[in-house]
Formats: sequence, structure tokens, C-alpha cells
Amino acid sequence: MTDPSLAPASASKRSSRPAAALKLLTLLAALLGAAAALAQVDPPPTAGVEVFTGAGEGAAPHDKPAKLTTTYWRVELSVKVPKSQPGAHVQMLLPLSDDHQEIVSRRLDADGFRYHDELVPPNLLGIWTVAAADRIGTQIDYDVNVAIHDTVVEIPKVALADLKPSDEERIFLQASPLVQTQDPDIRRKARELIQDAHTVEEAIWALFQQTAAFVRAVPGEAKEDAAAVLRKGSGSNTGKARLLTAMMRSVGIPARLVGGLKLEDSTKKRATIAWVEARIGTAWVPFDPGGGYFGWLPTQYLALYRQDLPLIVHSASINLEYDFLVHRIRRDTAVGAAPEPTPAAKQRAAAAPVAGQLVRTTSSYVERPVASVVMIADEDVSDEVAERILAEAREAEINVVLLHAPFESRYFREQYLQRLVSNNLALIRGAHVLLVTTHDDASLYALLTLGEKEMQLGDMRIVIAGKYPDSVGRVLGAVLYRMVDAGEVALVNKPARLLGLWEMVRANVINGVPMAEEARKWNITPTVLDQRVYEDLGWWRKLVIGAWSRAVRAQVPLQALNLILVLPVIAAIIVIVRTLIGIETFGTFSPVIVALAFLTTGLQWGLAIFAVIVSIGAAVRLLLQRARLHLVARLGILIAVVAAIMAGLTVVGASFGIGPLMNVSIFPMVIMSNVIENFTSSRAQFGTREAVRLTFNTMLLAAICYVAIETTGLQSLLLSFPELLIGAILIDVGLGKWRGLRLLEYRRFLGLAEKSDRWQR
Amino acid sequence: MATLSEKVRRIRREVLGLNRRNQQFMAHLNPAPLVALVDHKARTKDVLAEHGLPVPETLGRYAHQRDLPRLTRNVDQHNDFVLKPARGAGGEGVMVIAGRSNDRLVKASGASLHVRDVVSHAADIIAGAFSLSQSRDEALLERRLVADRVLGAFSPGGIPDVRVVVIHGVPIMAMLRLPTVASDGRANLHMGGVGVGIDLPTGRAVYAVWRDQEIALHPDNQQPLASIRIPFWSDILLMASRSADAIALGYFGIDVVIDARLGPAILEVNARPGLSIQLANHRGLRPLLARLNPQSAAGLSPAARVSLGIEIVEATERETAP
Repeated sequence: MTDPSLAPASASKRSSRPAAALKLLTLLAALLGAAAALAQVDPPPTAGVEVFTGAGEGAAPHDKPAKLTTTYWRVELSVKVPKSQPGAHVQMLLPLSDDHQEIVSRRLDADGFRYHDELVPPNLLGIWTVAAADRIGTQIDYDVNVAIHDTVVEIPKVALADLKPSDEERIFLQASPLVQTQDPDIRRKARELIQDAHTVEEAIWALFQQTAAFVRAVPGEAKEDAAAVLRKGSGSNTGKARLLTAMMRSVGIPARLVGGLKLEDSTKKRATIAWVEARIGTAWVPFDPGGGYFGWLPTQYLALYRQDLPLIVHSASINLEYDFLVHRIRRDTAVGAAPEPTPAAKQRAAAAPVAGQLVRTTSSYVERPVASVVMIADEDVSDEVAERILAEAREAEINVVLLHAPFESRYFREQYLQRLVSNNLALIRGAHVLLVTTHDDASLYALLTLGEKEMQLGDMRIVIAGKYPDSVGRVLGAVLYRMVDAGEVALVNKPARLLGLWEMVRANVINGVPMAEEARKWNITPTVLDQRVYEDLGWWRKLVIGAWSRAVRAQVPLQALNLILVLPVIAAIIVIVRTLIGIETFGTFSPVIVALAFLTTGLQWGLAIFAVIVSIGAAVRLLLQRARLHLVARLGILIAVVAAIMAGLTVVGASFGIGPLMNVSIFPMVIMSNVIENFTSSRAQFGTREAVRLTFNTMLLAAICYVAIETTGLQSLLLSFPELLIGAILIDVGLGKWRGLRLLEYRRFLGLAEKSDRWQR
Repeated sequence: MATLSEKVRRIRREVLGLNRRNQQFMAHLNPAPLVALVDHKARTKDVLAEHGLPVPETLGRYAHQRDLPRLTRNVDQHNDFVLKPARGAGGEGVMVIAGRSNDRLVKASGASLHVRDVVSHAADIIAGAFSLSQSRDEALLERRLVADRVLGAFSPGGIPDVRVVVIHGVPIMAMLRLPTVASDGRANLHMGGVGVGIDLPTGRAVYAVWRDQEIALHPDNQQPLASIRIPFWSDILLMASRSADAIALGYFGIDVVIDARLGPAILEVNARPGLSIQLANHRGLRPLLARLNPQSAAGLSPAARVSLGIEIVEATERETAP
């Protein structure tokens, strides 16, 4: 379209169908015409020319479909812009995903334009601004792949008298120049039609019948108004929709226009159609008097925007020509195209943060899946790997959901993973294969939530990958196996690449290849747990498995048991370090408890929190020294100070999304207060150097314990073999008798063995 | 130059470490009630005084707030004194008044204060402000000790004391602890005090360490430490030996201060004497302990036990001499 005045002619030349009428209005006319409809929408920045595209396409009423189908389309919007000046812009309403349609992917291409989009609820507004002057002419391309479902909306049973639009809904009752709600003829006609109606549905049916059946469908203008359609007894598709809207509004039913495209394979379109959505209860119910759809929308209807708006608004300085190229495509073509998610789709992909950690969800669904696989990973999965898994899943007609997030500490990893599992129970229940992979032994615990919820997983196959000794995997895997009654639990006891695990699962699901066989190709050797393996365990091991199963059923978190069981081991480590190496600390308990705290926060954050609390606490304690308070009162104040610091750290954690800080209250307050008090008293007795040294040693020893426990998977080992605690006691007994010199004493007394002797005899 | 493995072997042979000290000596030889007794300075003094051992004169004890008017009266009777917590540790909460100026009291550090400041300090002590483990404490008013002229020359910043370690009633090793500016006037080696090893038979300085390293001159005034000879040495050894009869600990140290007017007095008994004394003497305790037979020491008089200690030391020195 090079000249506005030529538009209708050029449009009608293109199509044998009822001509698509286009009318370009001046800014003033546009403001008058769309005032009511724009009430909700911010006025365009520098609105110039508006392009109304609604015209007519008539059809007889249709029954609701017995079978709902989904079709896939590629809709390519191209806007030719022959000449442009910098700053000129084109705004276009763009389709969004909703219950009826799903924008699977979109592609943008516009040389010489800056693009951004704005979500102007309920519409998406794409704005192209000319970046540089262009004399040759250029083109804006906006392509979407879309899946559209036959959508039947249940009309809520509401008595007409009970329909009380809320304040927000009242704007959908207002009149506008093209929808003349207050027109006496429209009001009278509408009242006459609904006089026998009791429910909203009956009322709408009467109004719909009038507009759909008794108004002749004729090619009309895009700006055909409601009163004119009623008067003439004929109208375009959009005109009919305006009339229905006006009549609905006049009898108090909130309604709005929807502008869209009726898709047909391999066609070029520029005329939009319009239908009506009525607000009944909490639902927007579609009614298309032009197409004859009452309470449902067919699969070839693509909604572009809501409200009576121009599809395109552009600067008066540019002329443009646009059209929609429509192709029906295959499902896999639609989904397979490199997707650049629309804003709505992106939100779904990003998923919600779990306690400060961003959990990413990537999923791929097919129409008739042969299997569904849920994969949970504790690491950031690269896009490349995720893409490949998703592509292979689609090809093999497998539904796949991949949940992944990086985690700070092991303790949190377990918690997050369990929460992740709880949040996705529905998904997991329906899965054929459930795969959990972590780089330590947390995977063994992640699924225990399922047992806690007493879920029976029948023939589900569960794959647990992580770093744990085979024997530990057998025991903790057996706890899970016993509790959820899974078909099979496969243990991969080394950190495996997600891709390899996926291939193993895929081959198993698709070809029935035993997991072990496919796994070998990926250098993975799974251990498969089943009833026989369980039966082979000794009575003591079965007793332990039974005990832990009971604990999990009673919702005792195994992490808690872990911490309890590991405590004597930490104590033994500290006995070793103190009596063999000779690192002096504030008593035995402080490093033990601080080490426990580190296990819950992770090392870096644990050390940071420890340093912050002790330094602030010691400073406060020094100020307290002048007050000369009683010991008990001093400790009370210190606990308050420590509590305040912890609360502060929690808020900092919440503000910056630092998970370990948000759970800082686990850090044992009383012990911290005690460390501060110890620091102060040893400072008084032995000086600041010594006090700092002892504090540092306490921290160091706690860190040593942390590393010793984290790197060896000691917690799981103890849970599997609690009898190991006897070993810890034996160490304590042995070292209690140890009289040899401590390692650091050799260093301290080295001077004594130097050759230089006393001064005199 | 000895190789590292030779040094390690020598340390293992000679040095008494914390593990062995704790198990073989503290756990076996020191009953808990006696340890609790020596942790209470006032009661320890009472027991020592009963056995005729010299202790700094107690001018008053104040266990309750209601005793404080008595403290005011007692303070008025003396020009110099020390107010300290009975169960304090490391010298914290010790207030030393060196004299008077008009109606104000002058601290050893030079600061002046009022009598009511002293009383409020005592109230703090009683409330447990300086007590590290217990919540309540007792304030102790003592006559101030003034460093003996000989040793005073080596410690400009405070009063030096002599630590004698007594095992099975036998004085076995001794050191002189000199306060420094770094140790803030306290004779604590951890705090930066100088440890001077003392030859048990003669009372002469044989070696000195400061911050675990050998030194020859006092770090503050550069006095040659090798010239030190402890006055009243035989008296001090006898006091150490006799205190084992007063308090039946098998392993302890006594801290003796030599007052310019009164001569040596036992300031404190320590049930957990540290092991740095070995560094200060450049000798390990184990060769000495190997020669110390508990049975043979058991029936001896205090003086005989002193002789036994000296014999053991001399025999050990003869053996290790090149």
C-alpha cells in the first residue's frame, strides 16, 4: 500500500472473497473512533495512521465439535516499508498464547529497525522504530509457529438477574462510537430479544441468533458500526460482532471484541475477522456471530488482539503494505523450529525460584506420547544438551520434563531436590521413568519425599545417579525401593553426564534395550535394585532399611538423622586433631556444632557467616565489658546480638537471593554466642593474638570436619551402616590413652633440640 | 648440626607433652576437689597460711554487697593495696593502688581515682564481672607486693614471679617470669612475658625465651638476663616443697613473688602449670621425671625433697653433658 487512498482498491483486487476493506484515518478520527476501546490502553506514543483490518467472512452456525483437534500453523506477517525516516515507527498487535492457542516459537527479522514489545494487557504490542534512514525500502518479518486447539468453553450457569459485573468489568459495558450501547434502537431490540431469557446463556443465545442468522452477511467496511448493521439488517463479520457486543452490553453483559485471523493453508491474508467474548462469571466465553460459533472456537481461529483496536498503527511519514502468509504445518515442524519464546512462553520456561535458587524447567510434550520421562539434575544443564534431549524426545514421541538448578550446599541440595519433587508430584506420578542425577549422594534422598507421601509407583523405573559407594546406594536405594514400591531402581554410582543417562533411558523406553546395555556405551554401569537384591541383604541391614523407611513415613527428614549420626564422627575427628595434631580450639563442642552448621550452609557461606557473627559479636562484647554485667546477662545480650545479625543476614539473603543466607537461622545461635564469649575471655587471659588464633583454629577445625564429611560421603555411609559409630567410639577410646607428643608440639619444642645449649652450667 | 629426625627423636625422648601431662599427671595426681581449691585464691591462701607458708597479707574478703561498707573502712587504713577477684584468671580485674595523693588514690599505672571507684570495682567483682566460669565471685583485698630490688631491675612494667613446678612433692623445674611492656605488666608467657630458665641447684638464670624464641637481653630495657640470680633461692625451693604438704596435689606449680620488704611469698598455686617452662629451661621434663620415684619421695621431709630434686637435676645434667 503506497498511498492510503488506494488501499481499498488494491485490497479488493487481491481477493475474490468479500473484499477486505481498509480505511486509514487521521489522528483525530482515530482518537474519536477508538476512545472507548482505548480506555484501558495507553495511547500510542506518536500515533499516526491506524489500520483497521476487520472485514467480513460469513458462515452458517456450527455445532460444537465432538472431537477436539489441534492444528499447527506457521503465520508469517510481513510488512513492507518502502521508505522510512529515522524515528518513524510501526506498532502492531501480536498474538499471545492462551487457552485456545499456543505460540510455540516466534522469529523476528527487521533490518534497519529497533524492535521492542510491550505487554499491554490483554494484548502484546510490537513496536518497530526506524533506526536509520532507508531509501531503498525494507521489510519487517514477524513469524510465529502456533498450535491451535478446538476450544469449547463451558458457559457458566448464571441467572441473568444474578449477573453483577464487577467494577473492573464495567468498562466492558461502555459505549463507543462503533459500539453504540446507548443507541435506542439497539437497546429496544436487545430487550425485546431477551424478554423470555432467564439465564445469561439464554440471553446471549437470543442475541447471537439475531446477529448470526437474521443479519445478512455482506462484505463491509472495517469500521462498520453496530447501529448501522442493525438498521441495514446486513453487515460484515466485524459489523456483526460489534452489533452483538453492543446488544450484550446494553443488557448488562460485559463483552469485548476479539480481532483475529481465520487461517487457511497456503493463503495470503490481510483481512482480520472479529468475534465477541462475553464475561460470564470468571470466564471469557467466545461467540462468533459471523462464523457461527457459539461458546467455542475452531482450531483455525487465531486471536491477534482483544478490544476494538486497529491492528496496525504507524507514523504518517511512512507508507506500508502488509500481509499474513499462512501455512498449515506438521506438529514436529512447529515445535522443532528454533524457538525464541514469546514473553508468555518464556515465563513458563523460567519457572519459579525455590528458596532463592532459580530452578529451570525445560519440557517438551507430544500429542500421543509413548512414554514420559522426568529428569531432575542439580547442575546447570547447558542449552545445547537440553536442546538435544528435547529434540530426541520429540522424535521418539516421548514427553520429557527436565528440572535443573545449581545448589550451594549439600544440605540445601537435598532440600531443594525434595521440594522440587514435591512441587512436581503430578508430573512424576505420570512418568514412566524418573531420573535424578546429582554430583554427590543427594540424589539418593531426593525421591524419599515420594515415600513420605506414601506414593506407590507401580512399574515406574527410577534412575539415581550420583557419587556414592555401591554399598551405600544399595541400602538407601532399598529404602526408596521398599517405600515407593517402584518397578525397578537403577543406581548409577558415579556422577554421569546427563546426556548419557538420557540415552540410556531413551534406549530403554523406546527399544526395550536393558538400561545396563545402553549404559555401557556411555561408560556407565548401573546397579539394578529389585526384590531379589533386597532379599539378599543381611537381617541387620534389613532392620536399618526398615527403620529409616519408618522414619521417612513419619516425615522425619533423613537429613536430620544424618546430622545426628554424623555428630559423634565429627567429635572423633576433633579428638584426632586435638590430640594428634594439637590444634587448640574453644573446647570440643564449639567446633563440632560449627561444623554441623557448615554442613547446612555450605563451606564458603558458613565461613563468611561465622566470621561476620564472631567479629560483630566480639566488638559488641568489648563494649559490654565496660558495663560490667553478670555472665548470664552478658550471654543473654550476646544471643540477642547474634539473633539480630542472623535476622539481618536472612534479609540480605532474601534480598539478593542467596539461599544459604536465607537459612542462616540453622546456624546454632547459642554456640556462636559462646564462641564470642570464649573469644573475649581468652583475649583477657592470653591476649588478642591468642584469642584470634583460637577463633581461627575453631573455624579451621570445623572446616576440616566439613571437608572430611562432604568429600567422603560420610553421612550416607553412616545412614547405611550406623554400626560405624562403634568405630568412632573406638577412636575416642584409643586416643584417650594416647600419650605421645602432638604434632604441633614438635614444632614448638624444636628449639629445645637445637645444638645451642644453656648459657652456663 | 643435628638432622631433623635426630631432633624429633630428642624431643620425643625429653619433652613432656600435653597428652601425657593430662593423663599421667593431672588426671592421676590431681583430685578434682583440690583443683577447685587452688582455683580459689582466697581459700588457697588460707590453707597455705595454716601451714605457715608466707602469702601476701589479706586485708579483707568481701563475698556480698553488704560487705562493701567494711571495704570502705579497710581501704582508709592502707596507703597501697591490691583488689582482685578470688577466682579471676590471667590477672583480669586486678586493681593495684600504689599510694595516695590528697584524698585520691593513685593506681600503679599513675591514674588517680576515688575510694568509691574502688568500692564499685569490688561490687563488679562480686557480681562476677571478671569471673570467667562462675557467675558469682569474691573480692579480695591484699597488701601490695613491691618487687625486690634485684629482680625489679629486670621488670620495669610489673612484678616478676618465680614459677616452681612440683611433682610428687619434689621441686623439679623453675623459671622466672618477667613482665614486659608487651605483656601489659603481667607475667604471663602467652601474653608476651619473658620466661627465664633457672638452674634448680643454684638459682641462676640459664636460658630465656620470649615468644618461644631464645633471647639474651630483656626486650624492654636490654638488661642481660644471664646475670640474674634469684634471691632467697633455697627458701623458695623449700616453700615449693612444703606447699605440697599443705595442698596434696601431685603435680602443680607455685608462683612466688619476692617482696622488697617481706621476702618471698606464694602468690598463687596452679594445678595446670603449662609446659613452656621446658622451653625456658632448654630442657625437657621427661628425663627428670624418669629419675623421680614417687615411692622414694613419699616419706621424705620437705627439705629432703628439695635435695632430691637438686640431685635429680644434677644427675640428669651430668648424663646429658657432652
